[in-house]
Amino acid sequence: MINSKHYLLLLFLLVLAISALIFSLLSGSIDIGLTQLISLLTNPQDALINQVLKEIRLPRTLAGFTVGGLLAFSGVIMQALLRNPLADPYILGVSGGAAVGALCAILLGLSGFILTNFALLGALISVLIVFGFAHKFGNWSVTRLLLTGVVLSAGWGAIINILLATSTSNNVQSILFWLIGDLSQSRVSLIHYLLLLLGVFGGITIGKSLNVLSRGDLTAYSLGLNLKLLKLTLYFVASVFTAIAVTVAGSVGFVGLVTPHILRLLGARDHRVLIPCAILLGGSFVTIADSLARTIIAPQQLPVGAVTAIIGVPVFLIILHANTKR
Amino acid sequence: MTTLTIDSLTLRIGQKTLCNNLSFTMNSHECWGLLGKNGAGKTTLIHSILGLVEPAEGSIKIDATPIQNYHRRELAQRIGILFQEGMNDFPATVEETVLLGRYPHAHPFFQNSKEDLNLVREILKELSLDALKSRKLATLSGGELQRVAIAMLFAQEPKIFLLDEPSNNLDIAFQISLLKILKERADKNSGCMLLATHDINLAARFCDRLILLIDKDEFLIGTTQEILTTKNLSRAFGCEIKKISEKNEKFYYPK
Repeated sequence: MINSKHYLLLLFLLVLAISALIFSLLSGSIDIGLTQLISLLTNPQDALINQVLKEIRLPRTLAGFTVGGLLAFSGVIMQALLRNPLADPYILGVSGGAAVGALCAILLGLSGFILTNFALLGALISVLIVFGFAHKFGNWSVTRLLLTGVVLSAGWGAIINILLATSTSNNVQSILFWLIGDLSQSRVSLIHYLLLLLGVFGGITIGKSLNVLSRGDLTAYSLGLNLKLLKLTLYFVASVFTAIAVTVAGSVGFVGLVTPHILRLLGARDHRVLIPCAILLGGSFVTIADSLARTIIAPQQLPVGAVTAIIGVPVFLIILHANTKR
Repeated sequence: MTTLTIDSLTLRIGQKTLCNNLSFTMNSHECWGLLGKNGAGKTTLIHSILGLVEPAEGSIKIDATPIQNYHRRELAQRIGILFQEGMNDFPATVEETVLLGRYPHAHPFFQNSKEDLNLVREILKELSLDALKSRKLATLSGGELQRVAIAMLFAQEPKIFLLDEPSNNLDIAFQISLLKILKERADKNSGCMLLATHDINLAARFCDRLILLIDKDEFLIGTTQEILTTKNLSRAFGCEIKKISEKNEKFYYPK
């Protein structure tokens, strides 16, 4: 059900998203004020500030927002698909596969575009393994899917540990940042924005079906849902979205898990509202976290994944507590 | 008018055969009971009518069209089932849950139609769920949850009501009132009802006709009066079953 409260929530999140983007553009080692930012848009007179904004802060800000949006979207989908509030985008092993792919590339001395492709390849291999095993047994049992994914994640974890233990030490720092999630090298392009847009519109379109799916297979089936097709589509879409987010910024944690929960507690239970809200909140969350990550202990930078958890844990606990008291 | 036709149906689960060559036709305004002991195949038969279990042989037709020729959504407009599954995984209110019953009728657009919302409001009133409509499912009692499930089924407006052991975990008074409102509703929609149960007395009270599953190859189909003899029941349930009569009421119990 959608009511005026939901439109207000959407409006609030839209304002939050815009504020987060501006906050991120203003944060960094060079001081830029809001008035300066506005005047730069119309009349770029200061070459240095212009360059910092256009070539460093803006791409990083957009990358952060996109990654957050993609992960929050995947989180909502995975939770509905697995009917498990503990599910997050990484639960079926996508991030593990991507990390192993990226690690192999780093250890081979590769970087840039090739590294990204290695990570994407790892993630897709992971998706195919989970799908192959879960599908082989005929029906798509949620428990089987979950178990296959969790076991595979553990397997990837073991491979990561072996790679870390045997690698020469000068790479360890960059590998760690990759595992935790870091935006300092991240860039996004048109395809990422298109995916995010696809998420918003696709989510609104299939939102009603997701509402039905999250009530259990038998309910969904008897209400006329084509379960097999929907589940297959959701699994692939969520996995590919996650894989792409991971290849941009590493495994930024907590966004995908906590964003849908915060929104549900705020009343956005209908997926037609939840999905656009999650994309806005997830994007804002990572954008703000990254702004803090590069300013709190400047000139040193923190990995954004650590900051999302540091902010996310108390916020989530406070909202959960406030909600149970009511 | 609605007819459900089961024609020479054989069901198999793995190597096990259930209901070998079963045929019957259920018409509007009829209430059928499916009676048998645990494992006799009641749930499997119900699931096959829903389309969840493929028949090994034979066919299931609604209004002379095989169920596999219907689109899933069309089928859901005709058949509904009552159960309580996965209601509590995510927070949801009573009203939202009942509205899900409209899913097979509505186009999946952003807003729900006014008609849908009005229908749901009426159903909530009818089942005295009005005061609970904004409550979360997690805060409801077992009986209240069952009422929500009924409301959802009413919102679905099916022609054929399938009930699989609907009275499990409910007190006697509630069992009776539950079946009464369901039967009335099926009647009002010019539909019919199939009640799978192992409770002989409940079936005796509500059903016009019965299917008594005795063995995979043996079942009896007929009016409630014809089927409910102590001899038939004793064979079907594998223990001696006795009957006491008082005026027009009969009560069956195991010895």
